[in-house]
Amino acid sequence: MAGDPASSLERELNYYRRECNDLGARLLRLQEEQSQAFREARRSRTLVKLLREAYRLGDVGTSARDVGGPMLELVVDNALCDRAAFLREEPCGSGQFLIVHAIGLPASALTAVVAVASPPSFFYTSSREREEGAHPVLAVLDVPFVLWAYDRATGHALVIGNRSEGNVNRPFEVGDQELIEGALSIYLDVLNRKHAEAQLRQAKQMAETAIAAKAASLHALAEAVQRPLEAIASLAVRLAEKHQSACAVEVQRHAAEIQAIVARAVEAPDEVAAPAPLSLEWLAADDVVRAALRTTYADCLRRGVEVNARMPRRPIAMLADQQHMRDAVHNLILGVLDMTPSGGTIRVELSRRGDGGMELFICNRLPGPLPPDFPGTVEGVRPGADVSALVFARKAVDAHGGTLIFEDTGNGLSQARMLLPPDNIRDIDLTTTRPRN
Amino acid sequence: MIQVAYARHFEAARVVRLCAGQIDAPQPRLVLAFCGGKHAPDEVLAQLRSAWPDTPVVGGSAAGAIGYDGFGYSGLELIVAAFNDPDITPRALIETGLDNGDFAAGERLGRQVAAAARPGATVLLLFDSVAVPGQFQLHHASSIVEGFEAGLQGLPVQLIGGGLLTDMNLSDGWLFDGAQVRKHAAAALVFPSTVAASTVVLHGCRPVSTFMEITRIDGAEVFELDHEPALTVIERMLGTTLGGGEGHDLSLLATLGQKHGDPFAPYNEDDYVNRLILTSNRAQGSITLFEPDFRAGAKVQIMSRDNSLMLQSVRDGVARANAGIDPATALLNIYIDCAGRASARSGAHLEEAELVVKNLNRSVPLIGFYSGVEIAPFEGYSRPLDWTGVLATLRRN
Repeated sequence: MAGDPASSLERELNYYRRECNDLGARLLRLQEEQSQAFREARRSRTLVKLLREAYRLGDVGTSARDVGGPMLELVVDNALCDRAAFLREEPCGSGQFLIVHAIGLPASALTAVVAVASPPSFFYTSSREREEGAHPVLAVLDVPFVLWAYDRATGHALVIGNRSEGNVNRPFEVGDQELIEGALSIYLDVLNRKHAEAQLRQAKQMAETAIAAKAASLHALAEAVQRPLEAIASLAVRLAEKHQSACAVEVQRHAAEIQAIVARAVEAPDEVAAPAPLSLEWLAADDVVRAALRTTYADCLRRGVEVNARMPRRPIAMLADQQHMRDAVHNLILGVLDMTPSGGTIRVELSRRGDGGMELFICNRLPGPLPPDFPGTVEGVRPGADVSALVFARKAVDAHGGTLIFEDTGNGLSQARMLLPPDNIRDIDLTTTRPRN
Repeated sequence: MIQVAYARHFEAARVVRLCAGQIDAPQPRLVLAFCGGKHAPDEVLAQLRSAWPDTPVVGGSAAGAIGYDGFGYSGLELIVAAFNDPDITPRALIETGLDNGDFAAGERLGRQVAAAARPGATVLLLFDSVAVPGQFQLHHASSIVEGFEAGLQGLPVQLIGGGLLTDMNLSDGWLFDGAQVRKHAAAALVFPSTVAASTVVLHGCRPVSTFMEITRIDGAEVFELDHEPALTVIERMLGTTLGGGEGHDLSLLATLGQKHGDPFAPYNEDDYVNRLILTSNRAQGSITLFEPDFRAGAKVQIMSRDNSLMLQSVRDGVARANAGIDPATALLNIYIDCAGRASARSGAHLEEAELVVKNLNRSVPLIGFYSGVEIAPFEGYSRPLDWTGVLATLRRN
């Protein structure tokens, strides 16, 4: 009865009970949806996490052969799967896979050859979907649900598997392609990097061996030429004193330089044999040339040679080792100076080439016919020039990926042309600070 | 002195070597070890015995491990505690045959303990949680503990413990009995009377329904709630079907809670014993709980796992544990953590184990593992708990 207090109370109680259960049910669903959303978000972060941890793994000193295990450990930890394996197709394209690394598999499975006819680049199995040809993979992993990725180019494959589709796992789906292919791709990247590192180490070792051999040979050669060189040097001294010949003076000067090089080769053959490493940075090219001009100015003045320099209107920067490049330009100017009698002129011209590269052109202009005892030319470089300095300049330019051309115009004029490739050259943005020189 | 070491590696030999390298004792008196289920148990045990040839190794599989140096549940973790001091080293008692009856095996183990322990002794109970691998059939902790209590024949002990799992999917479990790997086995680590334990239970469920009466139940299988099929009631609350269409898969979406004490007292997490719903049977309209210890006529509520409550419970519980720690006498923290509380399962935005690791007093070593069920003192006696973290601190008396 509506008026009965007990009945009314019972009705009220039932109302609150319904409301309580309804609110509770909503709370329960909200909690579960929130949990579900977080679990999905966690899965979506898996690849990023894997990427970060895998490349960190690549930074430590693991070899290419040993990187698979730790990498698989990361996959298992992030994907929360029951089993995982890296496989390698042997030979590539055969469809016959060897298990190279595995987690969660019995030892007996590791020796199995998994035959997958026409292996697809991606497949998965779930309670709803079966993949033709997946059976050998399922058999080896001994689980019903697998996710597979295969890289045809390298023959590597990654497979992960679960015993169930519930609890912490959910059914594999098309959306998991990104995860499994991403994981395989990261593994291959790390593997390639490890291979490249190994090759670099091997190349370095070979280079060191070659340098050692070269140093030994240089040392022996230097010792062998030391004595005859001393004889030539003393002969040149005597000739210079007796005949006051410019040629004899030149021979004497160069003999002294070669003696210094030979002495260094005898004392420290390793240093002479090993190329000095470059320290590359973006430099204002005109600053480098001007610095070299300053260091040669006194010599030019003393020799009575005028220097004209022309720089580009739009400043350019070059990627170069400052010291090496300045020394190379310095040597080139002095080399041309050596070929220029008093009263002559040296022209230094820096310009941007049509292909985007840079050209430094250095040439001389003679005041008249060359003096009769002025050295002749041989193979583009006059013997009167400082040969070792020019050799240094050529090596320096070569090391920068450039080209150095010595040209003999045939009428007593000397010119050197340094070309640097476009990759090493760029415009200087005048609104910003100039590159440091 | 007790030393703890944690490591994770995909090779059994390496993970043991990494742990052994952290233990500064050539021959501990006992090693307690919890190992991720992806490792081959025989191989891990062989490596542990190789590292410490004359030392018994007790412990077993764990869904994951928790230590100050790391935690995780990839299945590749290993955590070990080495006991070096005879005055605090527990005696390991082993009982097999859980597959022939959980209660009976528990009772036999209880009798062994009764013969070896003094009144009030602290006992760590570890057992293989999985009766049939891959079938979600468990060795029930409540039956084991009931048998254990019966076997004690009135001897009071402080019992804590956990069920051993290989992973969060309850795929399998195994136990190290000192020298061998055992299936269907339980171990009781009986500490000398010089060692006592204080325990904090960390919860994470809140009631979301009115009280309902269990009107039909058989063991762990609940058929009716308030005379309605239990599955219908639960699914109506959840607004979804349990365990997929067939209802045979692991559910773990909700729990049933039994409130102890005054049923109408304000909510207090410590008043509840919760039971996770393991599976459902659509044909029978029933749900199966983790444990068979609810009885017909019991008033229960549907409990929601609440992640923010869980994290707050961890913060509060760890603070309580720290307040009770006297660094002069504290020996070891043991954290037995329900695997379902891990972020990958619960969806919590923080790992609650991380909160434990970060906030616990680090002057006391910590060994923790992800378990299937936790056992802790409750209202004067010990009983199994679900969806909890049991944080026990051993101290010298």
